[in-house]
Amino acid sequence: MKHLLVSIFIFLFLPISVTYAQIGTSITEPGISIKTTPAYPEPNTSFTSSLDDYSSIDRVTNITWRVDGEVLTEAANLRTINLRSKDGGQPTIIEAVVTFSTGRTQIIKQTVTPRYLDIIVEAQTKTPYFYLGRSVPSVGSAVNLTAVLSNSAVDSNNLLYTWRMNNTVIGGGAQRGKNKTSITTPPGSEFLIGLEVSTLTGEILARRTVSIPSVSPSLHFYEKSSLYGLSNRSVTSLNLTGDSVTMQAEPFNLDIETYNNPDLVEWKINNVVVQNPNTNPYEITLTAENQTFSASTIDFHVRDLNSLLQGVRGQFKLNF
Amino acid sequence: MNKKFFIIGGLAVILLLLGVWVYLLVYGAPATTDDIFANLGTEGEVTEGDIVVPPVVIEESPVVNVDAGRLRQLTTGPVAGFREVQLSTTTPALIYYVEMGTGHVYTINTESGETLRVSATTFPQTIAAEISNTGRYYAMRSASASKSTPLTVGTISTSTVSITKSYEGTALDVAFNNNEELYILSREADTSSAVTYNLQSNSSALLFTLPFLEAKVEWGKERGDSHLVYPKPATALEGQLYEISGDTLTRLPVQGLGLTALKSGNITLYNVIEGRRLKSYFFDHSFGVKESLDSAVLVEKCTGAADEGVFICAQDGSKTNLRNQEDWYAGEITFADSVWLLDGNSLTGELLFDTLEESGRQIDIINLDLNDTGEVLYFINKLDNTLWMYEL
Repeated sequence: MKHLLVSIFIFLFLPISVTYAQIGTSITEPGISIKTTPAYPEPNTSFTSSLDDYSSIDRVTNITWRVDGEVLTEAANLRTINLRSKDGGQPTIIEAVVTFSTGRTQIIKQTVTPRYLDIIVEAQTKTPYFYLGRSVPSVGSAVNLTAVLSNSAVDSNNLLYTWRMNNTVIGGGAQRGKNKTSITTPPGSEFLIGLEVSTLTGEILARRTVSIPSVSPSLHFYEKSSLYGLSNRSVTSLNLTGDSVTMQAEPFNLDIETYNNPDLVEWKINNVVVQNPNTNPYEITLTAENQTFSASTIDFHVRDLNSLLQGVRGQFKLNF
Repeated sequence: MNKKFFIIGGLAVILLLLGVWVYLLVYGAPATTDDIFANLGTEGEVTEGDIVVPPVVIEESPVVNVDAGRLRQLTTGPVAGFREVQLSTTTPALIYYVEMGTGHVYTINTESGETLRVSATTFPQTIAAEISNTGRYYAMRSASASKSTPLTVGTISTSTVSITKSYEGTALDVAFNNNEELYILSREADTSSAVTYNLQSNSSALLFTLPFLEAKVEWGKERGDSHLVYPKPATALEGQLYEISGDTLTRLPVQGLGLTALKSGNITLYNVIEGRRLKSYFFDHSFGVKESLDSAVLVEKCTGAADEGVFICAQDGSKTNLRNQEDWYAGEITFADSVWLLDGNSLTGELLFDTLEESGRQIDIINLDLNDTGEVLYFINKLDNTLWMYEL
């Protein structure tokens, strides 16, 4: 019993030294680290590195910064330094040599490898074939998202992708090799898409959040020729110089599904619904036969009746 | 009663004789029997001494007036594509062009102005065409409901006025390089891929794949050259610039809303939307610095000159404060362009000509192209798709 008590006494009063596990690229004691803003800078951009020691047990009395082994004399004792990232893929090693009030010195290190994480947005909405631009999402439309990570030696099939829409994780969590995903545009004028890319061991390589707009579909009318196809000039008013003219309605940024299978598609001439014999419901052939007016107003309306925001109406004037 | 009849009859004879006398007085007596009797041909053909043959009208080839000032309209009809071809130093250059709608191919002799049809093969609803640098090979694209349009590739016949088809498919974009190989960008599900099609061997080889579909490619001119790639522009969506060499996609430090770009030598001219306005910049790849232009130019209205960081651009001086380029894409607005020489090295600009002043007409320039000698500019007027040239 006496031996036991002595052993316990000695054990309790032995000097205690604490060791800490090295997590990631930062060698820290709990409560001291280097924080980079932005956390994952792109190449050739400015970023700041800050010493975060708010939870440190001992007080920091001296800070010396080193970047790629070179001491920054002008940054002596500063808690925050401004740096510029290098060209893509080239790492910058940042070290903070910290002296505590107890006289102890510690080196905190962080490696910043700049990468581009591009999120390419491709809305599955309509634009005519001659349109040189990209279509934009509208509420209820499908949107394909593609991640392109530059300056990574790791194949995308060996990376984990965590996609978020408005802070809700898509697909339930991180997915291996999932550099492409598809979402349905939510209500509102914009939504957020976040993406985090990490290695299979959990090291985060890049993180990005982008705001994506959502627009209302718009309508343009173009003259269509059997010889030349669709004219590239939008009309709001047209003079009928021949016997007839074929016009095509192009609903910009309307969901492709709605465009291909609309619940409602109708043409009106002077507010009267007309039966359109054209096989393409977006085309109408107009003639001057039996016209009693010098001008007519031609209306077009297309809509998904289950998703009322997926629709558009518009008009143009036809002069005789 | 008999007396009356005699008087009436006598008066009638007198009137008749009077009429004959008046006729003879006016027309004279007939000289020969032929003047009295009609030739009914009952006794054989009567052959006149001299047969007057109606003149034969020779239909000459239409001639384009190539001497009417530096700015000239080359066609009155719409053109789907064109190329100046200089087959040898001893023969004049020919302008090959493809007629929009039919796909028929014509040449214009730049010296005599003579226009000849060299292919009458019809490709219905031809909207765009590419021609190889020897004028031998053609890539015709037809109207379509989608961005992936029907493509027909062929060779012009040397013996008949026709084109022989060698490839048919669909394409998002095509372009010839200076080695007469055709780059074809096609859709592969939600991605795109490009092949190099060799018209001599009728074979194709994979060039590169892209992880996204809606891509704009600025093709390299020579075999083995790298290509610039970026997502098609949208005012509200970010675009990023990549360079693709072999199958390696390298991100370049150029990005922004509504990005469009064009490279010449070590300089990239690019547009982005900043502060709700379209802004143009030069980016020097050698030094990694960018410089803004005083006013925005649409990259689609520019062409690189001599791969030396020099660009020739069309710009409407009254519309330099554009919010975006989409209104022009959709055909809502049009321009009356002047043409400028922009030097990305010295950051200078020089006005070359004003189309409205020179022609008195509104010209909205697209498909600007400088010929190999750097002496002639060709372009199409977007308003009516006619072909024009300007001698620098």
